[in-house]
Amino acid sequence: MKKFSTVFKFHLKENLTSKAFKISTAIIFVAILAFLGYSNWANSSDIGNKDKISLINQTGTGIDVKAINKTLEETKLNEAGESEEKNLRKKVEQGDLDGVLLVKEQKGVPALTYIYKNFPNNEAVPVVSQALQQAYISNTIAKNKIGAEIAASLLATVQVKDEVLKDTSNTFGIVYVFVFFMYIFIIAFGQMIATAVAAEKSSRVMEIMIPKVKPIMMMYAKIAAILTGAIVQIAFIVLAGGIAYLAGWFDANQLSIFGAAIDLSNLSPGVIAAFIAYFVLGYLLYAMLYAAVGSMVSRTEDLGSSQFPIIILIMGAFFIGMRSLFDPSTTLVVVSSYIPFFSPIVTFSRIVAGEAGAMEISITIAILLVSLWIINRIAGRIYVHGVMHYGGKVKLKDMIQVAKNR
Amino acid sequence: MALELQYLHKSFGHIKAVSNLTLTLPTGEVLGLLGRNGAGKTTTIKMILGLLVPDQGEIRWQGNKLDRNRVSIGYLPEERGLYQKSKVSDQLRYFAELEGMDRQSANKAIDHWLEKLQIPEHKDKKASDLSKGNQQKIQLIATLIHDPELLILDEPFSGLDPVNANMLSAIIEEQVKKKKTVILSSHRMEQIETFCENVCLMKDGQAVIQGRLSEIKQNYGYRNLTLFNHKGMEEKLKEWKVSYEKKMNDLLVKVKDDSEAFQLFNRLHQANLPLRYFKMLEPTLNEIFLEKVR
Repeated sequence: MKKFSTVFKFHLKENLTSKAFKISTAIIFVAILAFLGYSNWANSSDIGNKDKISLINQTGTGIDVKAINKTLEETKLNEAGESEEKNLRKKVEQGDLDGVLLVKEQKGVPALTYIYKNFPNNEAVPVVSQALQQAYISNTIAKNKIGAEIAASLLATVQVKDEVLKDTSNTFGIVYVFVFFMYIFIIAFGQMIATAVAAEKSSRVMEIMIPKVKPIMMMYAKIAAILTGAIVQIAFIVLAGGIAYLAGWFDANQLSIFGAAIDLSNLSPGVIAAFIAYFVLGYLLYAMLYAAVGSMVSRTEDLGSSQFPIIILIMGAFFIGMRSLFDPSTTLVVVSSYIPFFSPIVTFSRIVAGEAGAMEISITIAILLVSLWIINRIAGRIYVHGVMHYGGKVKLKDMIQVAKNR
Repeated sequence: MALELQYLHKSFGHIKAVSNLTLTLPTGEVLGLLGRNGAGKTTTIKMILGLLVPDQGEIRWQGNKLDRNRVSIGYLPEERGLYQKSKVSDQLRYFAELEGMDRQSANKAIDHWLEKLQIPEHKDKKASDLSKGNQQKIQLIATLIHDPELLILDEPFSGLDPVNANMLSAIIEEQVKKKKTVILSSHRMEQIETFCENVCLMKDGQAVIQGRLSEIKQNYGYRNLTLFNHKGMEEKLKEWKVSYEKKMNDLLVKVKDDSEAFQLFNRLHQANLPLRYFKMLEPTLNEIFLEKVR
């Protein structure tokens, strides 16, 4: 155990003091602050910059522009005379004006024409059309001398009430973040493990190390050291987010990613525990695969092609995870959630979506643990033999052969 | 007997790397493990270190089965390597701590050795910033830092310049004086001949010759007799049907033993041939090596 901690400490120090680590942490830290700061600044500077839309009313139905302007947040409506229509159209074409609303009468009923270039304004048109509708209806009621009660019942609208039994849309954002995070994390740090092992081997330090420490212990100490380094890096990401939050750069209730809201209320302690459990198991599983591959190559240059099968597995997990965002109960997703290489990402997203029950969680964790144990045996064997084996490129056949041998 | 290898066998696939190797090395003595590339030296060393498991046979240390946890071994691998991105002092301390030293004594030993090898200024540099020769010195420190009982140096002189080779010789001598048990492996006989009381000459995984160097030389079939090539000497040797080899101004004659040499000496005397010198030497390790291993 003392040797384990010695190896662990050495690699942790090597990792944390390396230039690559310092630079990448600094870049991530600054990039997060810069991104949040910029989006905050861009949001606040947008406020004085309202869309300008002109309204030309050619009908007798009155529209209260002032009252409408009060309800509009991002648009400024102003009234223009009939004669200006041509002039205003030109302005819209040149981009000086964001749009023109034309109210004309067609067969006694007011009609609204919206003239704009490229991007429509989604705020003003419904408000104006509603105001127009209401004005027209009350005009008609007044004209035909209809009683107040009848008028009220005529104006009553059919109510639509949403009742969603299971709404995946509010978990969408948060699953997206976690799935993406796991994917990036495993691929980046798995590669780091493979590179570290291969470098240790190709520099022949391994020859000094193996007589001193059991190779398998070295493998675990290294995996743990790189995981710790990764957690330090995550801590910096959280720190950057925390600073931005304290500076008031974002509102925790209005987080979103690519338009999908990140609803933090879905982050129950259970979900966080599940994330940690699946994340650690998944990381260990892939870390061992990466260590085994790293131990089989003699030069770091050969790593790229040798780790391809692992990358395929992670990509598979990622895409199935993405699929489960939209539809967490398809057969593909359900079956994949029991496959150990996929379940860290897929089962987790099913848990957040509320699809996976206690049964599924315990079975997948059990499967993960068993496969971890098996892969631990196989990867350990490959590692122990691999680090002593120098030669050309490794074929899958060699790895199987090595794993079979005692 | 400190180290005993008994009937070691190791094969890789159908290639026999070591077969039926039996060796003994008393405590405090030096063994030269000789042989051409691929003779099985490194495989033997790796079995002693426990990096390879012998197919058959046993390795014993002080009468018991060799246990890596109970014997401290200093191993200088043939292929040198360090953690390129770590500071020299960090990795030396790491190696020392893995051998059970505490931090303080490790630091002390690092300073001692860096001073001794005249490179204290490189203590805080990264290994990748050092020259090849200096990296080799660091590697040597890594081998010796924990003051091991058994030293195994695989091709220790390869790649060293004459000055560093001298320094290494001095350090090996010092270790020998400290009564460390040492195994030196090499394919360059002249470099290690001076240290080795015991040799084991390997060929195709087997020991061709082994034992005390002095005995091997004494009992080895012939001696080298060197004569100055005076006029008429060659004709006389031809007349007597003594085979010889011409080398510069000398004639080299192989004789079986002292009496054969004296016989020749008397005949030369009787033939009135002048003698500038009459030199008889044991064959060098190199000669034995070349003859046995070819």
